[in-house]
Amino acid sequence: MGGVSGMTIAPDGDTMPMSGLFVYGIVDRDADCLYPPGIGGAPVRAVGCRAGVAALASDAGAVAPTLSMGDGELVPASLEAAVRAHESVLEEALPYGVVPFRFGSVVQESDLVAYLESTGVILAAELERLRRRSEWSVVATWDRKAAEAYVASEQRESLSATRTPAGGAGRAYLMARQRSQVERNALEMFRARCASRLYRALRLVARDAVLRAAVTQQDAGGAHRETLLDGCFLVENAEQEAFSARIETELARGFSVKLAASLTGPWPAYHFTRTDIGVSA
Amino acid sequence: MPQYSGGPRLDDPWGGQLDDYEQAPMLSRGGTSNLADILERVLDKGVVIAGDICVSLVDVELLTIKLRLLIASVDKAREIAINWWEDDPWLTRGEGDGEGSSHQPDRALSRRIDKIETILDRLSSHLDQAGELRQSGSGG
Repeated sequence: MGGVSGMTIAPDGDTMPMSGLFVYGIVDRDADCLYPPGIGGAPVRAVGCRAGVAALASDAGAVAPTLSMGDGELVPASLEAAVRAHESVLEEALPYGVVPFRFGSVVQESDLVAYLESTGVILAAELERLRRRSEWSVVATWDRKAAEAYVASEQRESLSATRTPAGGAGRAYLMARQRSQVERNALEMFRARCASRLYRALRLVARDAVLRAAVTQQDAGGAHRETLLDGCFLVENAEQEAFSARIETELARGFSVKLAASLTGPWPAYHFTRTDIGVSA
Repeated sequence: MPQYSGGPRLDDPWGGQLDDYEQAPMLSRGGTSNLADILERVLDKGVVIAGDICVSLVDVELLTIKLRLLIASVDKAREIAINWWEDDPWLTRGEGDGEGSSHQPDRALSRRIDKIETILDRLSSHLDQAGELRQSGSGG
């Protein structure tokens, strides 16, 4: 298996052979933590600054020159190993507090030190904001058929008011189309209410939330499941059980549409990290 | 289907009582080991520092990673004068496709088309010859 090679991209667009450090994230300078090996197996060390924070980094020069890709691989095994190494370093730091950096961030050590010195106070504040908090991903789905049946049953009364009066086949056709449109509208409104209800319930327990574009899914049993909510929630570590319990409560209440959810975490707070911190470097 | 016992139902989809609940909640819990979940985060989120990078992979993989970074941070990158993609022939198709611009995929494609056309010409001439022979054979 190959490793990762890379090049730094200079501001003028020139490329240079890679040297320097992979940067994983920001932690307390005095964090008492043993980190797993970084990308390419290089040892991870903390590069500190006067503001009391440190960047977790490993030597990028220790990494082999190319990424290889085996037959049928969607993701090169060596890339997988590298991103897993990045993630595992951050997860080890997570209990102590960490501001995650994007994978593949490579800088010269002198630049990193200058960056830390100039941005250290902001990084310390960001670290404090994310300390004792982690990211949880929630993807909630409902069964489309069950939802349609449920809405149809609830709509029965209003639909009966539009029942076809005496008339020809053309009128019956138009009325059927109208009913169909009413049902579709009702389903979409119901879906929006369900998603909103679920989001608000979880948001009450979380410190922050980010919604992502919902993707329709097909479950293993072939049922047509639609994503109601795909979101990341920043949750206090002490509130994790309460957050999980809240999801279960909401699923229970949403039984009529066969609500289901997957919960993954705890993640470093990737979705809740300020993206403008790095620009000032 | 269990029956709700409360509330206007479509207005309050969660208006039922928990006592009505008859099935185990469908909550699946997972850790942080799923590769897709990791990639979605580590390639697209987190602090991006100035002088950021590209992880160079072979051919297409290089393009993919570059695009991900580009999509995530194009505005910020421009602010700090990182504009490498504008000179990258894989990502940029400029107006002047002359000698100076190296569009390797285009050249490779052109070569393949030339090759195919040459083969077609040969086949066509073979077919013509065969037809002439057949005509002369039936005529004689």
